[in-house]
Amino acid sequence: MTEDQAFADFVRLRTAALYRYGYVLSGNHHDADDLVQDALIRLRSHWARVVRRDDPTGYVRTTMARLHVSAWRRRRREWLTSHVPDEAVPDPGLDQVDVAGPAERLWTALATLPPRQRAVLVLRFYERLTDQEIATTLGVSGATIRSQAKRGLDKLRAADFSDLSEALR
Amino acid sequence: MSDVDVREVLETYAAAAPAPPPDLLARVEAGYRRRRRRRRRAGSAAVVLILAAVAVGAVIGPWPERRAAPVPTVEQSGLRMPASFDDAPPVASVWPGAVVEPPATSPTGQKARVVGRLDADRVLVKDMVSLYSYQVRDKTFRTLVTGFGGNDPANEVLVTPNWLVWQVRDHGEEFFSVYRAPVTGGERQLVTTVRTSYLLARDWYATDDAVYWSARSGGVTRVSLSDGVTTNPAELKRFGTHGTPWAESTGRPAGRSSGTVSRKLRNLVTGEERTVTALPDTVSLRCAPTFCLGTTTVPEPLTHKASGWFVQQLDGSGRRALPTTSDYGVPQLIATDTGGRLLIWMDRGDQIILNPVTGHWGSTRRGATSFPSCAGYGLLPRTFAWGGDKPPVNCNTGQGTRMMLFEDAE
Repeated sequence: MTEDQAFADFVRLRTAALYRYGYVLSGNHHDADDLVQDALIRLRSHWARVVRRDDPTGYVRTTMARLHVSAWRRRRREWLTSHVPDEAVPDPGLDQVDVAGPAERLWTALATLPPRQRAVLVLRFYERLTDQEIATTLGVSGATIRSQAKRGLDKLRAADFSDLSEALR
Repeated sequence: MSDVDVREVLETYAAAAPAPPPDLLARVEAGYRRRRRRRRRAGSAAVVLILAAVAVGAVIGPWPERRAAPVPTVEQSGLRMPASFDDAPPVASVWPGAVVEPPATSPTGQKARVVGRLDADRVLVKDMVSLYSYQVRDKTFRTLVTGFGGNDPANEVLVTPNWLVWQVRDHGEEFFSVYRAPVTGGERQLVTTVRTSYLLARDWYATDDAVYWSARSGGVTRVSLSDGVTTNPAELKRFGTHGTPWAESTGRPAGRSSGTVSRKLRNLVTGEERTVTALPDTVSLRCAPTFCLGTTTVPEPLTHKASGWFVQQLDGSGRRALPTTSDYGVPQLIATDTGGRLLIWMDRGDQIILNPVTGHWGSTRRGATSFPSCAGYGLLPRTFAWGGDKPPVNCNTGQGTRMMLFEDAE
């Protein structure tokens, strides 16, 4: 199997799971789309080396998390335009979610968190990583992870989730 | 609010994430090329230095000859290759029985995906929760299985004469469970749960008795479908699976430190072995049971493009060169249960599918200048889907697309 074919197979097989991860990481499908695409382009550049380590999925996930919290990337996404969109763009993912009440409020509250805090919570609760693993993924210290997680949870509590810490156990 | 579970909320919303765009790979490749161009410009100074070093080397003395001596002309027998890739007939007219119009949505309105062939009239279709039998002619569904055994949808569904076999992973992706259900429909049965790398299980193959995949530690893992007993057959220690009954053993070309050539093929079920002969000028050679695809030149480091592509018999005879053109990328060898096909992506926008054993070949183009609006290769089953010729075509939903199952394209 050629490298091209192996990479194409990887993209085809892993994209759905990576999109799900990107979706909870960013909170909307446009950013999820960008995250996955940007991370895969980086993987494409280093495919041979990453495959030798046998963990391309981990490479992409780490790249996505770091891209998500990258200030440079957020700046790049802001550009001037001569016209404004005249209609709202629906997020197709939301139509498929049959949740309401507390779950919807929590999802909305998550959207208010800064990218790094949201990334920490996603990696902890969705990816089920330990704080040390999250620190390695984001390239920061364990203490930073703990403080970011605390701040994120504090903000969620402030958003009327008074007993959230119990719910998260 | 104590019933709020962040994990559950995240997983619920993750499950509702939109499907990735079908042209993602093309977008990634385009982005990769842009990134590479930028880096090339930034690295121009380094190139100058390298050229200077080469010039110094030329003054000091000639580089050692690394290429093998030219091979003698080989008698051409058996395999067929067109003189050029122009004027190819449409794929659907060459293999009408292999091309289907896949359903865009399942009976529940979810995105549907063809994952196998059940018989001449029916294909196996899955959505997020069920497997269906789909009558291609009548466009009717029948539910075979509902619920895959995990939160994720079924992956890598295999069809054997009597069973449907699939794998389901958890979110951590270090474990996956193997399930089976009767091919005529019914309750699923858990076969086994294994801790392994997902990538190593992607090229798996199943019979009515067992499922096989490449083991993390090398060799092939065999799992009995009846009792879940796992073994690593000693005779398959140096082989890897490729989604067909034929496992492959590979190695370096003789006298080279890079490149990959097939050494042997071994049938997982019958134990039959076929030895591959790589001629001395071969840099890369991969084989299906009926022929091999190889090249005599080292691929470019960044684009992987190469010239000197050829097909040959497993014993090294019958070499036939692919038409000399810079209009295609890297040809792919698509191994099937009974043989193999070539898939060639043309830069002009279409794809050529070719069986050098029968000499049959076709293109996805729709006339001299009309090319498919989207195209993609699928691994399990070996399929190729592209934007069809009956508008409207929606590459995101699959509406109006066509799909060829390689196994049926003799």
